[in-house]
Amino acid sequence: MIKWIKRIVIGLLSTIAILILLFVIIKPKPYYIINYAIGSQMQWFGYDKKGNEMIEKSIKKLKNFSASEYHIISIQNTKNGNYNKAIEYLDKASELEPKEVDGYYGWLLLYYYRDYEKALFHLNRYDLFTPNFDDYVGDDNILYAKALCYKELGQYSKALELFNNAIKSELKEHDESWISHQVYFQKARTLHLLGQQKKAIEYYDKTIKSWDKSAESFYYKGLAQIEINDSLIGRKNLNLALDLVTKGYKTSDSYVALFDEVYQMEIEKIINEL
Amino acid sequence: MLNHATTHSLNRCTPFKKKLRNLIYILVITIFFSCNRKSGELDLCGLGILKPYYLTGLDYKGGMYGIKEKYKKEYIPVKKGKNSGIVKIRFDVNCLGETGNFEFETYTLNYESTTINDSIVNQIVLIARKLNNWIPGTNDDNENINSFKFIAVKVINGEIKEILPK
Repeated sequence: MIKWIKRIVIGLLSTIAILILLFVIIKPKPYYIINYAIGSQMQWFGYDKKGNEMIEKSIKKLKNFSASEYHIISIQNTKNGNYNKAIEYLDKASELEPKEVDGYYGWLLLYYYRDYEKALFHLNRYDLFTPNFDDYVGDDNILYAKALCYKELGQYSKALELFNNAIKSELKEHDESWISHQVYFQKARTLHLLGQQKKAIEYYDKTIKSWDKSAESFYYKGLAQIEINDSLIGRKNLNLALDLVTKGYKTSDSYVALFDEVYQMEIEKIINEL
Repeated sequence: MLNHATTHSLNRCTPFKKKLRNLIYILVITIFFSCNRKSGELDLCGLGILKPYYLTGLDYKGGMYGIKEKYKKEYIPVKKGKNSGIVKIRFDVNCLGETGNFEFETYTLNYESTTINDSIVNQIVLIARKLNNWIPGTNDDNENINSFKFIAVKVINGEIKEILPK
C-alpha cells in the first residue's frame, strides 16, 4: 500500500516537474499559443497592456504570423482605442496581403479613425486590384465609402459624383429597394451641403420612403425646409424627428458614431432656438 | 448598418472553439481578476468584472453630441508646443454610472506613441473626468454592470477636430 502511495506521489511530482520544465523553462509552441489566446481574452476584458505584452511575446516566439492573424489582433486594439498597436499590426497585415486587407483598412480609417486621406489611399489601392468590379468594404459599396471620404474632406462635388456612381453600380444588378437608406441619406446630405436644398429634400424623401423611421432624414429635411423658408413644414419635421429619436428610431452603430448621426439633445436644442 | 463585418466573420466559432474560449474565460477570470482587481479610485460592482462598452450598451446622456458639447464648452485651444495628435483616455464606468481608473495615451496623427503639450492633455483628461452623465451598461438580464470605455480626441494645431468613437 505504502509502495503504491509512494509511486502515486512520485508520479504526481514528476508530472508537475515535467510541466514546469515544459511551460516555464522550455516553453514550447503550445505555450505561446495559449499565452496568445489568454492575452487576447485579457484585452477583451479591458486589460490592454498586459494583454498586448502577452501577445507581443507570443508573436516574437511563434514567428511567421499571417496577415489574418495580425488583422485579428489589430481589430481588438482598435475596439479598445490602442491606435498605435492597431495600426502597427494592420500595417503588417497590409504589407503581407494588401489584396486581402486594404478594403478593410480603408473602411476602418474612414469610420473608426476619421482619417479620410489615408482611407482613400487604401480604398483606391484595393479598388485597383479588381478594376472591373465594385468591391464591398464592410457593408458598403466601395464607391460609397470613397464618396463619404470626399464628403468629409469637404470636396462635395467629387463626393456627389461618387454617390451617383455608387447608386448606379448598385442598380446594375438590383432594383432601387436594394439600396440602403444611408446611401440616399448621404447623397441628400451632400446636396444639402452644396446648398441645393430642394434637390436634397427630394433625396431625404427617398430615404424616408426606404425607411419611414429615419429620424436623421426628418431632422435634416426639416432644416432644409426652414432654410428655404418653408418653416411651418420644417418645424413639423423637426418635431417628427424628435419623436422618432425619443422612441429610439435612428441609424446608429454599437462601436462608433455615424456620419450625421442625430441625437435627442441636438434636435431639442435646435427646436428651442427657432 | 455597420457590423464590423470582418470582425464578425473572423470571430465566428465552432462549438469546440466556444468551449475552449469559455475555459479560457474561466481561467482569466479566476486567476487574473483575483490578482489584479482594480481598486482605489472607483468601486466596481460585484466581482469587479469589466466588459467593453460596445457590448454593454454603455451610453452618455446626449450621446456623442453631449460629450462634444462638453468639450466645446470647456476646452481652450492651445497654440504653442507640440499641439497636434490624438489623446486617448481610457476609464471604467461602474454599475452606478460613476467613473474612475483613468489612464491616457497620446499618439501622433500617424498613430505612433508620442508626447503632446501637457496643457492639451491635462485639459482633455480633466474634461473626461467631469463627464458625469453616464448611463451604465447592462447585461442580458437588464441589470446594470461595469463597463470600460475610451474616448479618443484628435487635436490639430491645438484645436479639437474630432472625438471618437461614440
